[in-house]
Amino acid sequence: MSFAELHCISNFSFLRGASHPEELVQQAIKEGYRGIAITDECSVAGVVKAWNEIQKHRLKHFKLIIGSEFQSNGHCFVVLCQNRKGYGELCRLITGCRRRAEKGQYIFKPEDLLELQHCLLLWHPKPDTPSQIPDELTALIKHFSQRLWLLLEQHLVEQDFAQLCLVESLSQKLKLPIVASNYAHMHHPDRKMLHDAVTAIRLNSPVSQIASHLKPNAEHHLRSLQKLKALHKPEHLSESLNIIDQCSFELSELHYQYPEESVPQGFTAKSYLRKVTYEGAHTRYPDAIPDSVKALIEKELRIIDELNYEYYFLTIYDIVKYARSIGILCQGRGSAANSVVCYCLRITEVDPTKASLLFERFISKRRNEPPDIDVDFENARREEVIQYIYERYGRDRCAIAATVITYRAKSAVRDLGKALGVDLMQLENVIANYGWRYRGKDWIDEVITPQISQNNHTLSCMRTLLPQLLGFPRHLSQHVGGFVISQGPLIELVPIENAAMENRTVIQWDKEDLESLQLMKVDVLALGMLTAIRKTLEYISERKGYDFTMADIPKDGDDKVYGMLQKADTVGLFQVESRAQMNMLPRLRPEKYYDLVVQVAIVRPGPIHGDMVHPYLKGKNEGKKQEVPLKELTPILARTFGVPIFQEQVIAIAMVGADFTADEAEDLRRSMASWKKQGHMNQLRTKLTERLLGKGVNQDYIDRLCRQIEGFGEYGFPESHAASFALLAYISAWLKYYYPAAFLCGLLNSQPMGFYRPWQLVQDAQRHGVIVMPVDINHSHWDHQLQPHQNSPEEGALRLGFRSVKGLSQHSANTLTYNRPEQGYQTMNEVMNLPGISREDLEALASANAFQGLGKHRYQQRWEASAHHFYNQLFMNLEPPSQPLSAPNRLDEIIEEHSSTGVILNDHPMAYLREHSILEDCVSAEDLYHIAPEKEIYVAGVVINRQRPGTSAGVTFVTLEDETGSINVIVWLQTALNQMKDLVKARLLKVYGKVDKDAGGEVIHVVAYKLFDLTHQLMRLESRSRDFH
Amino acid sequence: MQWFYMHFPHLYGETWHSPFEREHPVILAREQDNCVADANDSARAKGIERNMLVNTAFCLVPEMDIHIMLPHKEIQALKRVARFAYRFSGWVGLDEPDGLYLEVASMRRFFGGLPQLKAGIEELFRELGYDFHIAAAPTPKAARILARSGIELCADKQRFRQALKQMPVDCLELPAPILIRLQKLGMRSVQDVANLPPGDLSYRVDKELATNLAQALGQSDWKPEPFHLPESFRLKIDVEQEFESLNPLLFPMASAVKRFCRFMQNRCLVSQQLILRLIHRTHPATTFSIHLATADNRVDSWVYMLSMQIDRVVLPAPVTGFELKASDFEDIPPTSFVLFQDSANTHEDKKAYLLNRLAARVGADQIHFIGLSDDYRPERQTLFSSQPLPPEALPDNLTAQSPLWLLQVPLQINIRRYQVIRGPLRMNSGWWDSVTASRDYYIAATSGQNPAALHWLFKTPPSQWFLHGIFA
Repeated sequence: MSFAELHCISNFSFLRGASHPEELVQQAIKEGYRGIAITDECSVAGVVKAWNEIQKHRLKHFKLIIGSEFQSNGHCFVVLCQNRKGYGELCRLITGCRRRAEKGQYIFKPEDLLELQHCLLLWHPKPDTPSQIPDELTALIKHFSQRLWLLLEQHLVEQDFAQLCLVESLSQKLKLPIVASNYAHMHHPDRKMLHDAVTAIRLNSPVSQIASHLKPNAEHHLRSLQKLKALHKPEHLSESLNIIDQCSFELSELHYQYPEESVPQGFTAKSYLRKVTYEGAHTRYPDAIPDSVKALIEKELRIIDELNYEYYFLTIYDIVKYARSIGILCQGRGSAANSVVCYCLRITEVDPTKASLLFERFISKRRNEPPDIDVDFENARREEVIQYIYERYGRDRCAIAATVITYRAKSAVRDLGKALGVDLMQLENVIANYGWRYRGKDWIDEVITPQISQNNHTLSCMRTLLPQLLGFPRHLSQHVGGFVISQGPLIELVPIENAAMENRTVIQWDKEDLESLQLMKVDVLALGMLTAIRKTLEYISERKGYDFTMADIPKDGDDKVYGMLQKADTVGLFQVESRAQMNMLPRLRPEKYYDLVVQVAIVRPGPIHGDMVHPYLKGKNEGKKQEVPLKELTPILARTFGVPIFQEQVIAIAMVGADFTADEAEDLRRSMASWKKQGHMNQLRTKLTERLLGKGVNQDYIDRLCRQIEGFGEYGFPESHAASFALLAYISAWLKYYYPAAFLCGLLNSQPMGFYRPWQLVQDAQRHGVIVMPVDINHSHWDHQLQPHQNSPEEGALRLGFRSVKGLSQHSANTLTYNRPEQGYQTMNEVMNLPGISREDLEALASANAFQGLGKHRYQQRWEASAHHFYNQLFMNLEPPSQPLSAPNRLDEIIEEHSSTGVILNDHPMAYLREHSILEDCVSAEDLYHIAPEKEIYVAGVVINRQRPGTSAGVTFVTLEDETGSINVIVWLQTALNQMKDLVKARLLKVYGKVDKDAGGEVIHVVAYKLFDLTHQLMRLESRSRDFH
Repeated sequence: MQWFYMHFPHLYGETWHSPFEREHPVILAREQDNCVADANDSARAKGIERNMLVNTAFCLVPEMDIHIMLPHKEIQALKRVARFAYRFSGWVGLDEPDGLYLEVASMRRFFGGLPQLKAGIEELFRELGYDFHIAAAPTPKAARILARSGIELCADKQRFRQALKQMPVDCLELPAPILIRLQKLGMRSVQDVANLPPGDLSYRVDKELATNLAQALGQSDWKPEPFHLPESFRLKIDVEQEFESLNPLLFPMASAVKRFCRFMQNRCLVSQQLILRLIHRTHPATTFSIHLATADNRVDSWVYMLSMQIDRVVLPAPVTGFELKASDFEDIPPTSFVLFQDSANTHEDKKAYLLNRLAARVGADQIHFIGLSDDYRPERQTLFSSQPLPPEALPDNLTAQSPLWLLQVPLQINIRRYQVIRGPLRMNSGWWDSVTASRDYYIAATSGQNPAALHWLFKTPPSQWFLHGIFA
């Protein structure tokens, strides 16, 4: 006798099911079932995971049925798809129910089922179903003639007998067959505890208070055939096999559904791709296409043809072409993006011939991986691209992919704590104080301590449940930019549901599911730096009088630009502006493009956890190449001095060194995030270790490699992405070096973005000789602008725009500039009388000192602005009383300027304090260069950022800024712990410490011994540091 | 007029978490925004400040104790200090959450002058363990500004004006947007603000600030709402002779209880407890409390209870008088008023009457209300509670197959003596409170008995059998 489970919910019926779809499949196979239907509640979100699991087992006789359950007024209906059409109908049904309701909910009426022509229906009647069947059910019974079964589910509970009687009597009366089911909520009875806990989380009450909502026992699992035989009649069990035999649909029927719009009439996809590639190649290489490039193009086109990826490349080309046509800057990245074809199609600017060191740029034929191209667009204009995609392919054929939000350590501890009724304040205390980023393997034992609860039993329950809950899906959210585009209506491919954002919808599958089914996926991402670069190029074009584009920037390597990078003079640059990057730049000393590619990728958890940084630096700076453990790995590691830096290299080591098959390698790539977890990844890890050991690679090297893989899991960074990022980093550096004013203007007009606040960007630019002028009612516009200046004839000076005035609306600023008389406003009254200018606008302008040109200080201007409407409109006959206010002093000016515009132009709080003898013993940033290493000194400054990179355990980087520059302070863990209060709270910090310099004397740090909080000296200065803990 | 203002910066902590100032750091947190509402010296020394996020506070001082501030307890704490302040002033006003206004001009002569009065207040509150600032001024709001700025001054109008010069605008404890408005006009001291024309201040900065300042400066009149002491009942009766038994005193006691009930009825109050103090000539007084099962204000309830209680009292000495005292009152619970007598209400009345009588007989602590819980474990399905459970709390998953007679402790049995009739029903529940019940329940008939009895048995995973209940 055999059996197939036809009513089974996974944890994608969020907080109802207590097992992963994969676990359900594994258990069903183990118990000897012939098949399983994953029938999550109004959802097919978990089916791809189950399907993947079956693919892994390569079982021919085990069947996965796609279905879904719907609850209505005590009845439960299970819909199973018979074929592709039935699957389309189910997707339509789910979409209909989901779209009617709020996010995460659904509204179902039994009549909805009448639309289904190619589906089977299982009906679990509610306990008190009357013998006189209601009309809507009669209609269903008629519609599903020969396709309807009664579900009989026996769980050793009191209601079993009544249910048996009911089902049997209905069966007799309506002539319907009966099929038995477990109605599984979990794969194994051991999950009962977790099932109770997720129920408590769903109901937002402690588990002890919701007993009536819990299942009385653990019988809702995939029971053994022996047990089922004892509970059910054989004909009820064998009916399940009859049903699965009627279902032939397989998810693999869905793949390769590419939209055809991207190919014009008269062309095939192949011929059109060839045509546009060669057209592009001629533009890229106007003199002649080099033979090597031609050969590469041909090779790539051949692989694209073999894998049938033409539509994919053409669709990306179509989107990118549109973006360029309306002036939106974009840049592709990813393994396929760095191909010659993509370079010719202008999807990327990375010239593969010039970056010839790049390894295996293209899709590998051996690996069954889908092409991967992410395209970054200017963040400010990405929405235009999204709207284009909707228009071009139709809203019914494209949608944003989902992201499955799963339980991670913190959320799992929090929700489980609530479910077990522990004190929430204490729980939050523990959560707030645990160093999550540095957690080790035993983190559960470290977190679950008596601090959370005095009850040992509760703690032990938490310890048991936590590992089980981790990784459980919690809800669906919207992916940042992953689009799925289909050939037919999307609604028949995957159900669509409402997202939290109004008018936004998401599909029920995430990116990995789409990849598994090889569906068309395009990543449309947003990048602030592209906006800044585009704006900078515009300003340069205005100055030059011709269109200056990214292509005009010489990419051959400019020593001056690299010189700037080597000095870590990188405030405002893309990717290389963080403290950790600045720390690395003078050590890595990038001299060419590929060094930048490494630079971008090396300050990441992967290489750092794997201790790969120092060997690389040794290799690069001292020519000491790391010995490659196996001869065959030499081509993989040669260009990084024998040290694996990139994710691709690690995978290649697994393939070449440890003989991983294409599937295993693909598995490794996907599973890097879960490397720490037990189970499946453990097998891969063991396999990697054993095979490398077998080939004579030493254990230490393998351990480091494994740690590196672990690090990639936290933040994977492949070479193919680094290549594109490095190009943008170089372009931003070039612009900053040659056009500092335009670059500053571009950055400021693209805020908020990047690592630094406008004040810090302005200070840095001023130190590079850029002239910055204040906001002025008669000279400013909404955006910051470059204006002619006698001291800077080439670039001009930057005039701060009204956008920096806090509290001023863009609409009001536009009114001001639109109505500005040619000779400018002469009195405040002229501004006050403009239509639509509110009191708040006037006050904001007055405080920002925008009326400075009209006389009077800012306090007085604000006083007058504050009652303008009162005396000029409401009570015109009243004369405003004269109220002379005292003028602001220097400190007041500093504070007001900062609080009103976020920028202090010609002064600095530290200069003020120094002149008032408060910082007498402190060395300025400028003078640090002249201090001998190892000397112990005082420094002081405004705290610009505090950073605790996840990569260097225990160290906090603090950047201070005084009137002469910035000072890098390193606070070691013990000092930080001793002086946590000063470290965390100070906005103005004085540090006593030791000067630390590199050999060239260019990288200077102060290693802190003692911190002094000077915030009280400038109580009102509202400076906020960028803190990354 | 002369006013004192007392500011108690740590009132809540000192009232409910005394001693608040100790070496171990303690914070009080507001639940609504998860911020620190107050912290003791030890916590403040480690960098914790008011309005800081509790999470930040935890980062700074992981070992601190945290208590949640409950709004109703805040006002209770203030009323408690107001009662003490009542000893010094006939007009005490509450300034929630932590300040008191005291009108003192009329009490000055009684206490021998303001300094004496102030010293008396300070002595009392110091003894009580409160930290406070006290200031005097011609208007209540002026005294408030001084005290809350920590300036303990007995100021007349002129000195108050001078004091304003020393006070930064932050002292006004204004909401952040208004404080910013003042700062953006260059206002540094409270006097700068006070010098602005009131109309302009009102329009340009804030109306409420202008009103408050005018009231503080005496330009407009304002007095706080007077605080009234809560109700209490006290009646002392001296009897003409010494009584060795209480029975003869029942009549005067009953009429005293009637006066107590009338006191409550006039004020629409009910009470659950009355203290009876019997006074003896030389022996210390005997005190006992008369406690009802439910609060009531009807004479017959109280008199019945009195007579029941008196029976049990053993007198240590003859009685020369007695005293009745009550201070815990509740408002009459709302009832539905319908034209015709509501039968449900009558039923409730009768129930209260019965309960009170039962309580009188056996003691209020012996009375339990029975409730049902929705726990699957049969032994946990019956609850005993000191308060009646609302009817909607009845669970809907009660098993109908369980017998009414449940053994308190299941009895291990030999299954061979039984014949299983129905089962199993499986139960696997209760892991959260460490009394996990994994059982299969069966209904079985005893064999060898005539007539056979139906028993409720369960089997545990190691295949041990227990008798848990017997069917009728």
